[in-house]
Amino acid sequence: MPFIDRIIFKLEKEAIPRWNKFLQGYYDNSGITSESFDQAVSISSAGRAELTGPMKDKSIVMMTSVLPSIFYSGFNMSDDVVGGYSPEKQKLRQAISIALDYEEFIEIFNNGRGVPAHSPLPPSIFGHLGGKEGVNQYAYGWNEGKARGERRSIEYAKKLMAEAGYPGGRDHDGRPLTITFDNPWTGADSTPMINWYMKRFKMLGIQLENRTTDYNRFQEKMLGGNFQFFVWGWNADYPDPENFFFLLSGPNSKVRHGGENVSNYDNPEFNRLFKVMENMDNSPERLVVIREMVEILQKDSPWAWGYHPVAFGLYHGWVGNMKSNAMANNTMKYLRIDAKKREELRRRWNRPNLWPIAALIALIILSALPAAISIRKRRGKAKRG
Amino acid sequence: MLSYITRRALYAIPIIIGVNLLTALLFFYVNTPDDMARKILGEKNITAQAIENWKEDHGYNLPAFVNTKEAGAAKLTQTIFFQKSVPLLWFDFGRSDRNNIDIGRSIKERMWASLAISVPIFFLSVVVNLFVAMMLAYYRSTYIDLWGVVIAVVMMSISTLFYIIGGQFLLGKVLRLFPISGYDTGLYSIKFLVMPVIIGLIGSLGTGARFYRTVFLEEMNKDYIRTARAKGLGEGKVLFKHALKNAMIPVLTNVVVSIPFLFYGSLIMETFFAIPGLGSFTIDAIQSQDFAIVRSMVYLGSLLYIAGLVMTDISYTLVDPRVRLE
Repeated sequence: MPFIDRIIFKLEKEAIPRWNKFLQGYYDNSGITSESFDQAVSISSAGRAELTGPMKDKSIVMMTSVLPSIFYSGFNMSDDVVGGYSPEKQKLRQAISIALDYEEFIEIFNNGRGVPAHSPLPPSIFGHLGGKEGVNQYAYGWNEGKARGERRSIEYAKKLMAEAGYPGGRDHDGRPLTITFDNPWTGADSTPMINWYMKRFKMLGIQLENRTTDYNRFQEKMLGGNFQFFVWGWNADYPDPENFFFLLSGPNSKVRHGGENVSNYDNPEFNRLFKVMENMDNSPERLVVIREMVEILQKDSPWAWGYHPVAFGLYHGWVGNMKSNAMANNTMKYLRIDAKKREELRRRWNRPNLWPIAALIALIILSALPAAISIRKRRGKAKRG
Repeated sequence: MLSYITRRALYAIPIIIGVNLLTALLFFYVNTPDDMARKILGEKNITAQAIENWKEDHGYNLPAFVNTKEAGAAKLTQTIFFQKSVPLLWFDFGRSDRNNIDIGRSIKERMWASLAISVPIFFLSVVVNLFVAMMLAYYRSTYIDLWGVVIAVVMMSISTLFYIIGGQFLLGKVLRLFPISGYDTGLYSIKFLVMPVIIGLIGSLGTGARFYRTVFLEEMNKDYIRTARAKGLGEGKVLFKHALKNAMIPVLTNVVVSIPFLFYGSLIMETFFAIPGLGSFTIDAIQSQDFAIVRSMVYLGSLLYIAGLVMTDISYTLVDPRVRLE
């Protein structure tokens, strides 16, 4: 090792040229953007993501992995309306967690590339629980037949809303519940996502007031605690549950301590368990503590959860030993490249196609010819006249 | 002429100060030094102390425009605006906020990549646009002129982005004539530059051809052209010798003012073709909130703009003996 002599990194800022150059064989591997997703991936009748025919013809290989990340939506736990720890406040947040159908969100906005979150822990992190055990029972039921969690119905969420003191989304005085939504989604393509959130809240009778700002202003609001509902994300710094649970630990709250707990969640029991868990080795004992912590979080619902993104990676058939690992940066030494095959295929795929250019030039000349002849005739007549 | 140039240089001083002031105002309205620090330090686990330290290290711990804690002239000099803008006057661009690179050196290095793409586009487009415009004027009142104008209007209505993406798709992916993007040094760079130059040329053709055609047609109706024809000169000679010379004033207005900007590069073109020029340098700086690079590039841009206007005025005297600069 290493198995290859030289690695060249190229800074290609735009997705379209990057994708086209990968297809031409000038890049060994590539991610898949939303724009090129349909060109590269088709969903089989069994719901499995597969490469499309043209990709298979080029011997391109696909690799998928759930990233050690979470894209989440959360509540400001210090807020008078959506925050607090009483059973009513818990139910309000649980109802919203049910209404925010992230299975639908992932399908619409992420080409199905995501796993709905039931806790802060992504599947690749110790403590993540799969199957029935891992399901957030406050937002999902368990379907034994299908052996999977199923999101609770909107009717159930409405019942929770009524128990929370907001029957039909209205308070005791009959005024509709209005919640502000802070996000840094300033791009034009973000509007459908914002509309989706509004639509889902409306199902519970809640009016969601959008407050999109640029990222700097958004951060200021988070720092000052001037928000109710927000979206944010986290990529693991290291593969340990502590790096996700600390996002909800009280001493790490954004407003009081300038930390990364943006929800300002502060549950003494959770904080105590966090202190116990953070320095433990991965062990059955640690798992027991983690289960307790997850249960507390699911009940309190400081987050309306979200999803763990799934990365789709593509690489050419001439690349060997390619493995997905979002945490390690020293895997290049294991790669193998069949440079001869790559060169041969590059040449075959990129033979210039010249006849359309010749046809275009001929067309321009032919179309200009009658005018040239008529002008010549006109000038000849004028001279003779 | 010397006194004219001196006068214009003096006029430039308040313009440059104003441009710098406006840039700083706009920049700090959108990004406070705290925002810059947060962005540059990585946005994760940043303490208030780390932000303060960064601001102190990079000279952003002062007030932006007025320092009320100081007395006299120091009220204005002990500010971010003064401390950061004054060295620009003697082209001391300093170091970038984000990764501490020498901005002056980067500009010198990247300028060549920008010139490699902008100079051929500029000169070829002037020649091609003038040629096409003269052809349209030559074939005026025929279907070539009619369809030429229609195509020119269509071409000028299409966004540059479309030409770039469409060009990369057609010339790079379908016809496989050129690499889709990339850059290399020396002669190796030529194969990467052909497609951006062709696209730049086509992108400017609609506007250029239509503008110059109008200029030529206006000249074609003047008395001296009628005289030339009456003398028995052929249409080609009338157009290429007499009309072209006299159409130079509007042509120069359009052309000379653009020359200084060749150094500045093309923001979109360089990003899409992965050319490491000054255009992508500026775009990256805006995206990463690097005020040091943004203010340097805006300052340079304002200087180049003023230089372009002065050059245009001077060029008038060269092509039209009636014009005098006083």
